[in-house]
Amino acid sequence: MLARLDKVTKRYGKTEGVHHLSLELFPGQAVGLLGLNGSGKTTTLKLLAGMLFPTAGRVEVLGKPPRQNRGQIAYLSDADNLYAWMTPGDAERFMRGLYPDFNPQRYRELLTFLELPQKSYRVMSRGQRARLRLAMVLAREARLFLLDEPLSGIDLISRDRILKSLVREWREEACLVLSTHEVSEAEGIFERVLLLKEGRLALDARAEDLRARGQSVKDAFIQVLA
Amino acid sequence: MINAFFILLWLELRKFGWTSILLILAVGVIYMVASSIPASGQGTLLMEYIIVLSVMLLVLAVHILVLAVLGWSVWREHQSGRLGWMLSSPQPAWLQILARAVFGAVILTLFNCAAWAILSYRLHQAGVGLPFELGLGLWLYLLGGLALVGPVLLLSLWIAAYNPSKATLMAFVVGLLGMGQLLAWGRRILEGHLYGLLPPWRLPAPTFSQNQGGPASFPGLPSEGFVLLAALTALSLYLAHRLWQEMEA
Repeated sequence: MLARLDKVTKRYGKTEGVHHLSLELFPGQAVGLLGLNGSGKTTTLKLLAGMLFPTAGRVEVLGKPPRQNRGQIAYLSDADNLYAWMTPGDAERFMRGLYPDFNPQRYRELLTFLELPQKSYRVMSRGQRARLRLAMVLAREARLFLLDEPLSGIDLISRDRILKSLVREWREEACLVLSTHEVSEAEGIFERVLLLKEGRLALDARAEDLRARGQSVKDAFIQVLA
Repeated sequence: MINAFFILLWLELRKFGWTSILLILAVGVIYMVASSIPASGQGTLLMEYIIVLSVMLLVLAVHILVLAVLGWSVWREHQSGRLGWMLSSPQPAWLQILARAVFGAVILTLFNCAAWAILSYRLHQAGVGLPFELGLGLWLYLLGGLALVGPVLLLSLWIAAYNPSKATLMAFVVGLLGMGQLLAWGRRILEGHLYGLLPPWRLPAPTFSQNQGGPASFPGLPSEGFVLLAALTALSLYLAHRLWQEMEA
């Protein structure tokens, strides 16, 4: 097992981000973390990344609290959060310095594959910015990849490039958790689907089982959450 | 870890590139103001005093500006989510705080060196000899600027981590104002016991009256103040490191 949430609750004041959530993640899985806005997807990813402490319950990545295993966790925030002056070259220097597991060779290959220009983040399009942030994260040799809405608000071509890069960079020893609203487009890469509803796990199923029942991930999403 | 430290310094340098231009401009203004110090025997002592005071006020304003920018940048980075790249990295919190503190201290040190060099040169031309070690001594007294940067980092991290209300901030400012009295009480309690063990630290500080041929009357800077500043700076940096961990969660 790679990571585990054990009866985790996270409260923000009186609001509950997630409630009594338990799940296990294994190497080789590509997990779709789905749900409506405010269902607890970002909270779940941040708990797994060690960016949030649970109010109750326990979070473990490779048997330790996430903050003690930062080198194994690659987290991509949903925020447009890179320094405006950074070029892909600057970003490489930055990542090499801060993340010992960063693989520059893979990063350069990803830059080429994602067709990223050597210009500053400030003048990049929204899609290019999302692709650059993704390349920075995917170039790490981590075991647990947590991607928070990498497909939201960007054009079709960029979304396609990002999904292809996820498939291309797939590694058997790693687990990928991808939160997205673009269910139809991304469902081809999911091996497992987690549906969150109001901070609770509403469905945990293998995508293959859903298909065997004649259901797409989108159908299951609508059935469970509607 | 050394590589990470230098990358963090490089990041600070890139972030504050525009500030360095402002500092160079400020040094230019200081040069212009200091240039108006009349040559030896051509001006009055009062005139020299007013010009030196103007330069000092300018230097103080630049310090406040630099410290405000340093503090604001932490809050801004947290709000924009850019700090997330640092928070999710495996680098320890103390290294990230140290890099920011060292960067701020180095910037202020370079600025003060330039300002002091200009001022002491112009005063020397006017017949007032300022020993170089005076500026050095005063700056070392402030731990090379760390005594200023540490509390600013602490305050900005506290605001970023807890997003306090205006009422809380006002209470904090009132508390800060009362800090002087608290330190005075602390000094009164401790001076008979601990401070008495400390050696006196005298700085070779001349006065304007000394320039007129009078005896050097500057009493020197007390060593207990230095020790207190060092302790408070260490405490502020430690608390900033703890707050960084709070921001992570």
